[in-house]
Amino acid sequence: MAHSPLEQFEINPIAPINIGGVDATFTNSSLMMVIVVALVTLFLTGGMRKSAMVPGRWQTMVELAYEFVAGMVKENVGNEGKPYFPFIFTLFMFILGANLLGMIPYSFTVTSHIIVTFALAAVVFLGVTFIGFIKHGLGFLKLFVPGGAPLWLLPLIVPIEVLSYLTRPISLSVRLFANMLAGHLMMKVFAGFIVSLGSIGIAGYFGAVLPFAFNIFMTGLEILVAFLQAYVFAILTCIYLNDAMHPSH
Amino acid sequence: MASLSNNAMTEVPVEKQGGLPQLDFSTYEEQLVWLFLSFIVLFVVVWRFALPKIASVLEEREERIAEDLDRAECVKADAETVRATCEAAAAQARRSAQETILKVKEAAAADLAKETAALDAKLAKQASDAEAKIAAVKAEALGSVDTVATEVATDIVARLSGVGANDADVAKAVKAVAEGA
Repeated sequence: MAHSPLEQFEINPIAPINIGGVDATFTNSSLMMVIVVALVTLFLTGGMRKSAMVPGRWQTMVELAYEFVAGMVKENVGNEGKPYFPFIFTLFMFILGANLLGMIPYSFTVTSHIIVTFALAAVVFLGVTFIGFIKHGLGFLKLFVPGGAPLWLLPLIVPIEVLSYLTRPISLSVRLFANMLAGHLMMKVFAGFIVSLGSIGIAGYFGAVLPFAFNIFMTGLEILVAFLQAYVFAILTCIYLNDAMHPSH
Repeated sequence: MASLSNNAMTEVPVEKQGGLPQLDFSTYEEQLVWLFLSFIVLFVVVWRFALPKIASVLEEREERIAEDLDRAECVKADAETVRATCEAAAAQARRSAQETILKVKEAAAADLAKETAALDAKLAKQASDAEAKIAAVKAEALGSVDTVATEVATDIVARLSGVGANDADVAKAVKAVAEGA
């Protein structure tokens, strides 16, 4: 009868699919990913279907998203970042879509799974490292040697820089995952309080007002977090990309 | 019942479910497969269709705005030219009006001078005419004085002496007296 607050994170298969030994079972998570892709596509193409010179509300939202991410890339990476803009825009919209869609009751939050966020972070990390070496060759390693540091400090600084570089995918993925996990967990726990207090009786009804009010507040906060975490993920990707473009900082 | 469900919620479930679903490695493969699949689809949609369209609309708008600003600049320059032309025309008109006034004034002054001169000449002529007339009258008068004096003297002589005097002698005597006087 009582639902576990962790139940919302469970992955339930919908249709078992196996392609060449690879488990590609269609689950509730896969369904949400497909819905996110569909909704983001709808949002982007639907808003621009008129391509009006003077935009309406929907088109303004699409243009706002475009200019927001474009500004982020331009500010943090510069003009060299232009080729990577579509990727960062996709990243931002996908994470934002997944975060926001997860706020709908009974839905599933794709980004609350560490494997998903880690995969995205790993793609960013590997991509950025790859780009760094392609653009600068071994000169990319200058990233680990801060300019202006005294020579005798280098044996200390270089390992720290390397370590901080290597932990980037972990911090990037855990930040998003933990935020989503904690927020949804908290909301479910407090929702549980409402139900259990409500089942006590009249006194419980009044007591239940508190967790209910808290959940309303949490819903607003979580929507903010959904935007914030998508933004943080995208902007950190930009910053890492900037490091790859200009390693000697 | 309530306390039971409370307990069930706060203590049991984690063990019952076998930990976080996030740490169930058996679901990783399918999540990764669908993540990459959906992400790549979204990326292609965004990269090939969505972004170029938005970019073209934004660019078009920017161009239009720049164009409009250019045109506004042009129109402003035109207006400036028109204003300058207008001002020049006004200044020209003012100048020519001034000239006309000056010319009229000069013409009037010249006329006045000419007329004054004409009047002066006329007056001078009249004055001299009058003087000439006066002189003639005076001369005539003076001329007749002799005759009158001669007649009067002849008369006086005749009366006093009772002898008719010779006119020529009388005239001679009057003349001598007049000249002597």
